[in-house]
Amino acid sequence: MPPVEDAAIERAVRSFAAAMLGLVAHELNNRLAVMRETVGLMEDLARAGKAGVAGTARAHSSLDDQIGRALNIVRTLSGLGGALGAAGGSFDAATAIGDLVGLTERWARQKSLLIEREVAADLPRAGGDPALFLCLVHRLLVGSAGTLQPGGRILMRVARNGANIHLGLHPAGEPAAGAMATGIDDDRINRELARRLGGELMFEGGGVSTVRLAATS
Amino acid sequence: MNKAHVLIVDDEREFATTLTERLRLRGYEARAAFTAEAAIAAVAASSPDVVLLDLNLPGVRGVELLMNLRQQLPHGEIILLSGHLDLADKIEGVRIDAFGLLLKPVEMSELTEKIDAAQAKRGMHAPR
Repeated sequence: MPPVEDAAIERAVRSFAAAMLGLVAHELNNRLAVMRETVGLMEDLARAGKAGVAGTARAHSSLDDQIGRALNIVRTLSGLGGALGAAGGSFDAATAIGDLVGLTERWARQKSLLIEREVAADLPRAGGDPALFLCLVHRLLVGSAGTLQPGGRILMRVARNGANIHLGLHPAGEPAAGAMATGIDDDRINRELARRLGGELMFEGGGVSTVRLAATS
Repeated sequence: MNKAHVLIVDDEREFATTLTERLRLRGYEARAAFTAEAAIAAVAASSPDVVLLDLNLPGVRGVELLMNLRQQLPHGEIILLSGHLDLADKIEGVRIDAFGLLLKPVEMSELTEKIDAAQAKRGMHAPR
């Protein structure tokens, strides 16, 4: 099988970054839209002489909630940015996965997909470039989601295994009609991403895929 | 021209209910649906003049819902309203004859202009 070119890996990482930016833009736009409509409604009611104390309190509570949700997105994005900025060294796999799941929450909801995490305590840091790791996990997540009908779930299990960290993706639910296994090109890129992380990608029965990463300590 | 009967389809409940109230204050007959099923039922029950449709509802492909509503509502107009429109949605939305595409957050004046224009077009093609 021919080797995967650097350009293919670069395209995969760019595509991942674009997907994340799109999700963040979407979510922030939605929060801003609710805020704009809430403020607009307060102005409309005041202009019509219909503003009441209860309605104003409700609007303030809604604004506070939306600001909190927007801040969570920004914090997650900041965390992810920090992890990506430390490219090439080591990373906290559990935190990286948590940030990824946070940013993909809307995507999962849109697909009626439940993503669960089971993370062992006191995991060592993983070696490798976190950008490649996040790109790989996102690709595996999207691939798994494509095999499930709405209502399915994917369990992401992270555990130490000797000198390694294992991340397993366990899909469960009704298979999607005409669901295909990952395409050959996607599969090659995914395996190459794992290899460049100093690890390995393994496929087991039932659609389970496991990423082996080298622990740094 | 009468103010349009508008159906807002969006799973962001606070957005949909607040927008509904604001449109009502402007004289529109507005109601909200938060799921694809509720949207289909509302269109069947009340044949709105204009549907504001978020393409990213849970558990359904937005373009499929758009096609479904378009079939149910041959003389109504559908305006796509979303927090994020990817190119595929835009192309497909135009192909299925959506009246317009608006990105959230949207200015009320821009939205009501679009709704009124959709209502005017609807009036020309299918007077009630």
